[in-house]
Parts: sequence; structure tokens; C-alpha cells
Amino acid sequence: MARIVHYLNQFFGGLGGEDRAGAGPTAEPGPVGAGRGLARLLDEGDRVDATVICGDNYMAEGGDAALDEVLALISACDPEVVVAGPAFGSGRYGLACGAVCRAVIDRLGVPAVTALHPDSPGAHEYRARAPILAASETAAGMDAALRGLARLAGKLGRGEELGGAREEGLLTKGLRRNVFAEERGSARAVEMLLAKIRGDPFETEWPLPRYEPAEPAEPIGKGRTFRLALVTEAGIVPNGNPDRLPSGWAAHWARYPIRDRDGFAEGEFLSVHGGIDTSNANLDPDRQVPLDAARALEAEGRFTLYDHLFSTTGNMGALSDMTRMGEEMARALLADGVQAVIVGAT
Amino acid sequence: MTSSAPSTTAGGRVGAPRRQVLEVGWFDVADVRAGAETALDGGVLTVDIEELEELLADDLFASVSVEIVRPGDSVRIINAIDAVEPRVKVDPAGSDFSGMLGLPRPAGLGVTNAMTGVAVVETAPPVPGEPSYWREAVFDMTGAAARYSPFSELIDVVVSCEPIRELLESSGRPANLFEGTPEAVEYNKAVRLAGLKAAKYLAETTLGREPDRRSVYDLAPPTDDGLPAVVYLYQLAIPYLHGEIAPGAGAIGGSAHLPTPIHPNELLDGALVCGWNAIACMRELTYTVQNHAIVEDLYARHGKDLDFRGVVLFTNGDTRASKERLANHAANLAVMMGAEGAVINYAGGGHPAVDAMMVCRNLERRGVPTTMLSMEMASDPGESGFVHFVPEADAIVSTGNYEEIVSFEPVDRVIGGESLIRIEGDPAGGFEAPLAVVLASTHQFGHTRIRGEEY
Repeated sequence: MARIVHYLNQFFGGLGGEDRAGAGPTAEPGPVGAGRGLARLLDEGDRVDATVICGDNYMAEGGDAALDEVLALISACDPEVVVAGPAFGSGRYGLACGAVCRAVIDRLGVPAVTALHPDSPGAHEYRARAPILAASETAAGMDAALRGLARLAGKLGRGEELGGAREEGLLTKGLRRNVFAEERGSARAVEMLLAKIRGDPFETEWPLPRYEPAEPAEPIGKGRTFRLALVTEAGIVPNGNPDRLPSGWAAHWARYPIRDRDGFAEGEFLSVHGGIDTSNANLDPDRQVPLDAARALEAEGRFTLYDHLFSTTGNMGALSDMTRMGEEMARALLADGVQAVIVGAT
Repeated sequence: MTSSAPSTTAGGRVGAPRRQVLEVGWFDVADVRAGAETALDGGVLTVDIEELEELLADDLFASVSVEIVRPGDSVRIINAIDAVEPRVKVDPAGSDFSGMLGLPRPAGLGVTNAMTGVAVVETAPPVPGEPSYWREAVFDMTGAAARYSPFSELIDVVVSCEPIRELLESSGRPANLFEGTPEAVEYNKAVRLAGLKAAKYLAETTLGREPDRRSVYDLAPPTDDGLPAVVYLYQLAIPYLHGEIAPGAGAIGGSAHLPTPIHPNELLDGALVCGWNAIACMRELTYTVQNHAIVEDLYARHGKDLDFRGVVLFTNGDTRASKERLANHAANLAVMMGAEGAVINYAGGGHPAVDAMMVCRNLERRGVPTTMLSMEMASDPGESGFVHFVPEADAIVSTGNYEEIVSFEPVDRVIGGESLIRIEGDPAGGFEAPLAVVLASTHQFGHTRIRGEEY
């Protein structure tokens, strides 16, 4: 027995087409529009108590305030489960369904589910935050999507944990966890290889990531003077490591004054990096962070050198920590009027 | 060359080409007990603990103690160094652990006796001057964490080595954080040798007896000549290879050596021995090489579904040029060996990830379908866990995410030292730690059933 509140846009809620996309949220009793199909597919006892309808543009342009309005209407209906969509491959509607589900789960503590095409913007944005049933790109897949939503809503209404993504037909959240496979890894590798050789279908167990490309900055024009900073992930620190930079898994960085130095002397500075042979870096830390060479170029009037070395340890670094530290360093350098940086990598 | 002449042996006889054939006689051990005399009887191994401890004494040890632990015991092993399957060479006798217990000898041929169900595990606390921050190596014999290590399921003969005071008080600084001081390297090697000696000592009880089963490891050309030829490209961590740290392994102090072809039987027969205290989940343990999962599983399909052509050892470079050189040569060797398919394992760590991926890229570009075994390293949800990847790596078997946090329950007893290294608090207590610290948990040979899954 689950009380379901259904979220729909103006089109599937029967208000009208694009001309009604600016409509603000309203609540109707019982199932409406596409919700009538959903209601017919629900398990006995589950029912669509109310439908909240909102125009796509109202949600897309209304920001948090629009979402708050929708959430207030949903909350007033006291749902046990919220179903949004299906929104298929649509942009604004899919994003709205994702945002509604996420807010219902996080702020109302009520389970929610939607159905989106895997490549839709809403799926990309919310897949880690809400269960999303994989749907077709267009409403041609309405029946399958409603059947899936009815099944998942029933499970959630009974307080059941949803199973694995594949088993439930959900989009994966893009997160990783460990499980125990039937066969050990080596046997799976040989099996996968034989399938690959034969041209049979096979599925990698670890899909490759898609990173945002880091575009290099435009070159600084010839003849212009600029301020240059030296940054390193080689774990170069003063002897004694006053900031206790770790040799791996660093989550902080340190700044060391270099104004009065023409180079790094052996013994005064050293590398605490735990992932490389640091012998040469310790004999002459300038070979890791070329302060001596930078001073020589500075003397030729090519640039002025920033007064501090920024240092952390890249070894085993978590991408999120490294991204954050990079942003922190960049903000500090920009605030101090630095135009160029050399990052000495290991 | 379109035809081959019959081979001629030294004796002038005409015969089949000589092959490197290894026969392993398996002795199943159901229990291990302490007793007055070391002997194997009806699947029960009795160990004269005192005699074994005397055998393992070393100038670098203040003491050596041997204990037997079983699955289900409320025991935690800490500061594990290596694990070894008890084995002894029957023929040629005396060629055990080539280069480690004697001069380098041919390995991977003749007859070897091996014990199943039991492992020798050495423990030793760290001494000053050794890289200790990734040395933590733990496994529980009971409780939730016992699911993750293969050694939790075996009867373990635990050899605990205590360093002499001079080692504990030494203040030498390592030349680099990777290797440690010469004293620390010698100490760790002595611990490994103790494990090898114990393994041989226990397996000597099988000599002159009939094994429970026999396996024959022979790369005989398949009768079905339509089977795809497969080469295994083994990215080494830092093993002893016939008694010496494998050239170029870890690219310590220089660039990589060129990859080397090797017969898989050498791996199974003690030519490769754990040489370095890598992160516990990926440590290249002697036991995991003796029972090399990839080699075993390729042999299992040899002559039926594939034609196993052999192994190429490769390491990693520490410059772009050395990586390119290495990766080109690895692919060359595999193609020269006739590879129509290849399996690669990634050894773990930063640099090796790049080299393993480059080898994969080169093989795929030369038309050799390739699968790779890789552990995952995602410490944050949403992080990919890759160090490096190439688009050609489209067939990866995950051996598990070693950054996943797992729970350890309190135990009655701890063997292997007074304290843990990175994990704070009572070593017998309950705590949470990354899977990385569990011995052989996400092992790069696919030794376990742990895998990462997207959800």
C-alpha cells in the first residue's frame, strides 16, 4: 500500500504544449494524463494520490524558488513514494524530474524515482543522486517506462532496497563498489579475451572515464614582462618538513618563501614524495623545481619570479583533492598577480 | 623458413623438440599441528616447532617464533611480509627457489612437490630506514575482514621475526624512500629467506611419497592448430628473479630494461620471489606467483580453447622515452611469439599504470586483442580510480577497488608485532581501513573473486 505523488510537466500533465511551458506548479487529486497509464500498472493497493504539474520553462528558469514551490505541493500531499516523468530524452523536463527526485529524497526523506534516457542532461546531472530507470529517447517507450516505474514505485513503497542497477534496469550512479564475482579475476580475463578474439560481445568491467580536457592557456605575448610562479607536486619541502606534507595521499599544500634564494641547496630542501626515486631530487632540489634556472632567466629581464614556491605531493593523490588544491593555488596566484606558472611534475 | 628439420639431440638421436615440462605433485594438507617430529601423515602435517625455529635463526633476528593459525581462529596477522606455499624440488633436487637458497638453477622443469591448504607467512615489524607507509599488511582469520584475503582461508604457519636491537636503533637515512637503507633491505631479505626455508622444510615431508594429484605443465603445441595463440604480458612489481631483484623492476635509480620472454613454468617453480613490501593488496607474494592465477587459467584452457605461447616480463620506465622503448619491445616480443591475443596485468602504482596502458595500446594497434587485469583506486565516490588509460583498453577485468573502506572486528590475539603502522590504536581492536592493507585482496593476477562494480 503506497501513496504515490506523480510529477509531470505541462505536456504530459495535459495542460498544453510549449505555449503552457511557463505555467507554475499546481496539484491535482489522483492520476492525470500519463499518470492514468501509470495508475493502471501499479500493484494492487498502490495508488496515485495526487499529481503535481509544472511547466518546463517555469522550472528551468525559476531556480531554487520554483523547486521549493513544487516541493511544498508534493510535501502537502504526504507521499510515501514520488514518481517523476518519464521524461525520456528531453532536456528541461528531464532536468526537472531529476531535481524533483533529488530534493524529495534529500529534503523530504521520501523515496523517489524517475525514468530518463541515459544520454539526457537530467541523467548526467542526477544519476548519482536519485534512482533513474533507463528509458527510451522518445515517448515511443512510454509503456515500458511506466511498467518499470510502477514496479520500482511498488518496491520503494514497501520499503525494499533496490537491487543492482542492471537487475533493476536503472542507470548506474557512476560510483564503484566491491562485490564478489563468481569466478576469480584471472578466469574472467581469459574468458573476456576469448570472446574478444572471437568477435563475440564482451563487456569491460571497468569503463574508461571521460575527463574534462584541460585546455592550455594562450601564450603570453613576446616581449611582455610577466610574473612567474613555481609550483610542484614533487613534495619539495624545507628540511624537517615543517608542514608535514605526506609522502602520498596529500590533501594539503604548503607555501615556502623563495625571495632570498637563488636555488635550493642540498640538505636545506628535500623531496618527501613516496612514489619516485628521490635521490637526485635530494642531491639537487633545483632539478625538481628549477629555481636556479628561473633566477638566471629573471636576471635577463624576461620575467619576475613570484616570492613563494607552492608545494604538495602528487603521489597517490585523489583526483578530488588534487583538483581542489589546484583551484586553491590558482586563486592564490591570481590574487597575487601571477600570469604564468611552471609546474614541476614527477 | 617454410619447413623445419627434425631436431637432433646431443646424443645424435632424432626426436621431438625438447620442451620445458614441469610436473607438480600435490599433497592436500587438512591440518597442521605442533608435535615432536616434523612429518606428514594422512593429510596431517606435524611440525617440530623448535627445530624449525632453530633452522630459521639469523644474525639479524633477535628471535624467530613459529605459530600455527587456522581459519576461524580469533587471530589477526599484522606486519606480514610474504607468503609462501610449501614446496620442494624432487628433480632436479636442490634447485628450490633458484638463486635464493643457493646458486641460480634452471627452474620450471622436472618434478616439484607442493602442499595445498597451507601457507608459510612471515611477519616482521618495520625497522628505521625502510619505507613503511605502504608496508601495512594485515589479515584476519575470522570475522568480516576474513573474506578479503586468500590467506584467511588457509592454515598458516606464521614465522614471526624480531629484529636485533642494532637494527631498531639504526639511524641511517635511506637514499630514497622507495628502497630503504641497505640494513633495512638486508633485514627484509632475511625475513623472506626465512619464509622460503620454512616452506622447503615443511614440504620435505612429502619426499618419497605419492601425491594426491599430479599436474603437468607443458606448452605442447595443440593438436588443433586453429586455436588462437595467447601471450601473457606480466608487469612485474619488484621481485627477486633467480636471486636478484629483476633488472629494471620499479625502475629504481634508472630506466627500464627491455622486456624479457620467460617460460611460465619458471614463475610456478620458485624463480620469482617476493622482493619488496608493496601495498599489501597488490604485493607480489611468492605464494601468488607459485600459484600464478593467470598462468594457471591460461594453462587450463591450453590446447582446448587457446594456444598458450608463453610469458613476457616487463617493468616500467621512469621517462617518456624509456616507457616508449619498453612498450614497443613488449609488443614486439608478443607478436614474435605469434600472439593473436594477449593478457596484461597492471602491477599497481603510478608509473606502472602508464607503461601497462602503453603496452595495451601497442598490442591493440598491432592487431592483438588484449585484456587487462587492473585494481581500482577510487578513494572518493565519483572518482574514476584510473591513474592512466588509453582508449584501446576496452576490456579490463577489475580486481577490486583497494580504497574501499572495510571493517575489522576485534580479535583475541595479534601475531606479528606490537602495533600497526598507519592504522592507529589497539591492533587487536576493531577499526576501519582501506582494503589496501589486506594481504593479496585486490591482487593483480586476479587471484581473488573481488571485483569493482558500478552501481
